[in-house]
Amino acid sequence: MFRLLFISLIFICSTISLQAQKLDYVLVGINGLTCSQCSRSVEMQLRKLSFIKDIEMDLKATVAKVYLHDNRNWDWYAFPKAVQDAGFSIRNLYLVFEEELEGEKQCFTYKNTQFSRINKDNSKRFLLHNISFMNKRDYKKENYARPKCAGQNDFMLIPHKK
Amino acid sequence: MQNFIIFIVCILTIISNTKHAIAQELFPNTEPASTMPKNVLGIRVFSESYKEVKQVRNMSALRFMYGIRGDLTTYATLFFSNHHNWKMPEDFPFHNAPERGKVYPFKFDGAHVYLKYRFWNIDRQNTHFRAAAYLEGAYVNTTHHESEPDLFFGDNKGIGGGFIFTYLKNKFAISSTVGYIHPFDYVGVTPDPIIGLPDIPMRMQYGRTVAYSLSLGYLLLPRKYENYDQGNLNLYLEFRGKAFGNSKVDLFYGTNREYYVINNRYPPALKSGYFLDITPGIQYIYKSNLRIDFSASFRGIGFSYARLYPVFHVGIQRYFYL
Repeated sequence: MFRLLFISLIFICSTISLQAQKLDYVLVGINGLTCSQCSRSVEMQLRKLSFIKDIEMDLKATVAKVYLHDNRNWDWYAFPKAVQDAGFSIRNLYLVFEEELEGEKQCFTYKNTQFSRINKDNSKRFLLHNISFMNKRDYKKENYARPKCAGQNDFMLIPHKK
Repeated sequence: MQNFIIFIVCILTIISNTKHAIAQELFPNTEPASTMPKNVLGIRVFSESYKEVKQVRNMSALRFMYGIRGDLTTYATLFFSNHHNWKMPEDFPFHNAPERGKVYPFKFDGAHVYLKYRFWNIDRQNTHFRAAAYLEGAYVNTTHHESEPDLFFGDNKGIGGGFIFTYLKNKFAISSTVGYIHPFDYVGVTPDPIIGLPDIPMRMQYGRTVAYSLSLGYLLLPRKYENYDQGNLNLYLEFRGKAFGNSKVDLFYGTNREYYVINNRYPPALKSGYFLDITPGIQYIYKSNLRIDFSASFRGIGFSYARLYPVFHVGIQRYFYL
């Protein structure tokens, strides 16, 4: 019992809740887009998600810049599903924070989701390294060791190289 | 043939020299392997016309399209045309082009349903390869009097299915379809050539058919995508054709005098054949939604007895995001 309590305390201490930094927007890269009508279809599917506040589509780069409602529950898996419902595939998903995350916060909770950074490099922009949010080829290419503080179901974040 | 080789060389040059743009696969007369977005309703009105002696034959259709899932799309189409009379033509089946130029009523011909499932896609930025399978069925009870069946443009009842493969790279799209059509029989009457005698009951069995197409698309404008309000101008070249079997016609069908006409008595329109039409087209897309197509079909290899060349096609289509 004492051992379980000790392990739990260690886990809680290592998982720092991120309250200071706020997510600014999410960048959703979309593969397979072939026309402006297709981009519009992706945007309309994303707009159906209740936690999405606004979207700016970059038609040339085929990237959706998505702003989220702070006061609503976010469902990360709804992003690839919405893109698939439009008939396309998600290429990548970046979380872009308002400020750079501080180096010591490698594992943190944000909006009820556990995130773990693969290293302590400072950045505002992080790639969500998860098979549901990347194409298989890119996922296999990016192979990182999970940090010790990471839980089994944490979303792994890779700092964007400047 | 030389012009065709020059055209292919030009297309390959375009493919190898265009980068960072987006292609178009919204072919006016053939289906790409891509499917519609989930829970989106599309409405398409389209028409084809050609001149026959002193009148214009026209087929017009209203199509409702719906994205059941991101990879599953269904269409329902209603056909109207002045292609057919209520009875088979006089001189049928012994004349190759019976009642050519005769005025027929413009009437409702029937309906067609289509289901397309995209089972394979390899998506990359501005590039994709997709494969889809389709099933179709039509209930069109017309007095179609050529061996070549057509489910997609409202000539026959029957069922069909096939595969579509579409590839896009930068500004260029290429798509191919291979399908099978199993037409159902038409049972009706044909006037007796002897005036005063009653109509002759008949049954026509159409040729089983392999349908094939190769479609090319090229995005002409805009040179760079910036917003949804930019008009899109696309050029297309579609090669569409069929290889079909012999018809079989039973006269006095269902009576004790029933007989079928032996194959060598049939005119060419009722015999097996094949053709490949060439259909260049242009398309304008207004505000990334309203799509307007114009195209014309010309005789390529062989020809279709069911239409007269050139056949002009026009279509207008819009999506409604539910």
